[in-house]
Amino acid sequence: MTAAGLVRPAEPEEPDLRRIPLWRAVWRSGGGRYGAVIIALVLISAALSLVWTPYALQQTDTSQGWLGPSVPHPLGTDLIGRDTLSWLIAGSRTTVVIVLGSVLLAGVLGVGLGILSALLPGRLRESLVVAVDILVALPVLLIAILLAAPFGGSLAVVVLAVGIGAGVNVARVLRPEITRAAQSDFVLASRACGSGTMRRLRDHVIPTVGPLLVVQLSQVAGLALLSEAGLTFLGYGAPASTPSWGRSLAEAQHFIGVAPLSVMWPGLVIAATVLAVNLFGDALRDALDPRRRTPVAAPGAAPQDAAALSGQRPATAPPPSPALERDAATAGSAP
Amino acid sequence: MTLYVLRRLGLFAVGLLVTSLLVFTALRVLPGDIAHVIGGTKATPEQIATLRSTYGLDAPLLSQYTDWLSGLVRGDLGISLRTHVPISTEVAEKFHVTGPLCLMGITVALLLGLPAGIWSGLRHDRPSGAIVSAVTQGVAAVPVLWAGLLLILLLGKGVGLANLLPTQGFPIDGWQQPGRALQSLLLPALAIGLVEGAVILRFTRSAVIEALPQDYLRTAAAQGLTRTQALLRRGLPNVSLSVLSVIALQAASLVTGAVVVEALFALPGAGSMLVTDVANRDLIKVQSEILLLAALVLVVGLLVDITHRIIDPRQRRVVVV
Repeated sequence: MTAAGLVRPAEPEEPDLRRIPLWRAVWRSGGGRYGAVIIALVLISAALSLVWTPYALQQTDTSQGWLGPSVPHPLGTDLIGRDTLSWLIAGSRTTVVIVLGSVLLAGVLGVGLGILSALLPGRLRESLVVAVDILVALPVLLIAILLAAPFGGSLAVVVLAVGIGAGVNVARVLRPEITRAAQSDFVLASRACGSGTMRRLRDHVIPTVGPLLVVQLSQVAGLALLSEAGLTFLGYGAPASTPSWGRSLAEAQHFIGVAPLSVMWPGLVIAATVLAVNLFGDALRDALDPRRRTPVAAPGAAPQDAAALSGQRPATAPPPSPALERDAATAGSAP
Repeated sequence: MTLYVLRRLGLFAVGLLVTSLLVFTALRVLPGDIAHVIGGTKATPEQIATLRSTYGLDAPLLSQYTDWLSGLVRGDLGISLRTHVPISTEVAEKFHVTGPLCLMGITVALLLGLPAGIWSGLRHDRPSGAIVSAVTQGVAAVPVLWAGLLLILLLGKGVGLANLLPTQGFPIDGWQQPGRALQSLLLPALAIGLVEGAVILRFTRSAVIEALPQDYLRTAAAQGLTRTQALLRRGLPNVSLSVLSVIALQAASLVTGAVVVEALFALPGAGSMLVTDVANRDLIKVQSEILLLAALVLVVGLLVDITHRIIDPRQRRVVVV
């Protein structure tokens, strides 16, 4: 059995994800690739729209209303002859602003509240946990109405509503992970080395919850896009002069009987981008998660590879560390 | 168990109180002079003074708040600024549309999400399961508004390819003709149900995948059950726990979806009423309506938590706050 010829040819070795750069790890998965391409497209068209759109946004021509797709207007025109493609390209600007704003707010709020509700002393912590649990029940729409009813709709309403509504959710998801990380041996070890609270948070706690945070924030980005469409339709989002995908959809829906295709484009763009953001988040999580990056995950393959490489019997292959396995198992079942 | 229910009820009461404070602060305190907001820019000083005295807006904020709360406890939600009808009467009337709509929506979501989720979970390592999962990812990325529009284009009367179902409004005589009323709620309920169902499907699928390698299923297999039988008989109680939690999470987005869909399909429900009231700056009514909708979400959370407790034997003896 030890003759070299009988050993199965070594299968191409699974590359060690620790050594390859992050972007390549994301690119390896189909979802990550799709997400990266769409997100890049949105960013490029947002930047492009600042200097150029196929037609000027306010260029109207009522004789050219509701044109179907054609060479001069690939996606057709709206009621007063404005070019649909130009408005969608310009709308990506609003998308970028809303998504970045919401994600930033939700991230800061989520991490801040998450850390406080995990680490504050006694009663203070318990009341914060209860408060977060209550606020989670408040739908984004109701927060938006609370802001828009007295002050009127605006992009800020969308960003604040999504940021606050999703931020408390992020805090609730992060809290158990932060608690677990804060009580772990490596934080204790760091403390024994004399590190301060801020340093321990920055170097040990936040990186541990990083993958979870990334997934949460990618969902916030998706939620921001979906909410923008709903809120703009109800009149709490961007004012009429601001190009946005939600506005394109809301305006087209009045004329669904006349120009059904004009409803398709903004909806497609929104759905494709939400999907991209979600898939990109999943790929980023897989690439970031230190537990997924260690080659423990393939119990069947590992001994074989080890045997092929060293010529030893499979039984002597080092068993995967039980601690790592346990962690990987619990990581999937975050409440 | 009783202790748990009492504690959970206490948390529910605290939740209502915190929400009411939040709503009151956002609508009454932050905008400054609410009479000016309600009256609009064209109101004369006299009109604003009348507004103030009629609706007690000149009283100190604290007593305005306690008045509102004590009214709520007695079922008195205040009086509409515009229609001068008690808000509770209007809300009760609108719930004849919104209640059935939400129930139908969640029914569609469960009918779609549960079986398909279990099926695709059992087949997660085969192409068919992967396809279902990919389609679900796509559906979950669709805004409710667009889902409604696509359904109109597919099935809507006059506009759609199939020319089947009404797309606008609700019969004036309400539920006198149940068939027509149901018909007009079908498309909106489908729109909500499709999007929510995709989320439920995803959670069910991953709950099934998580349950498959468990020891109790291996035992069941050793006793001669097939994988599907074992999952359906022994695994479902476990899967149902995580599905219950999703329903609690989805309650908030169900409310949001209902408001959007009611506006799109011109249904005279609580959601459309809320949107109209915001547009009319009937802030006193908006205040009560938002609290009611938030209370609805809190009630769902309460019921789900208690049901969770009842059906999960592991949690019965442990006292957890």
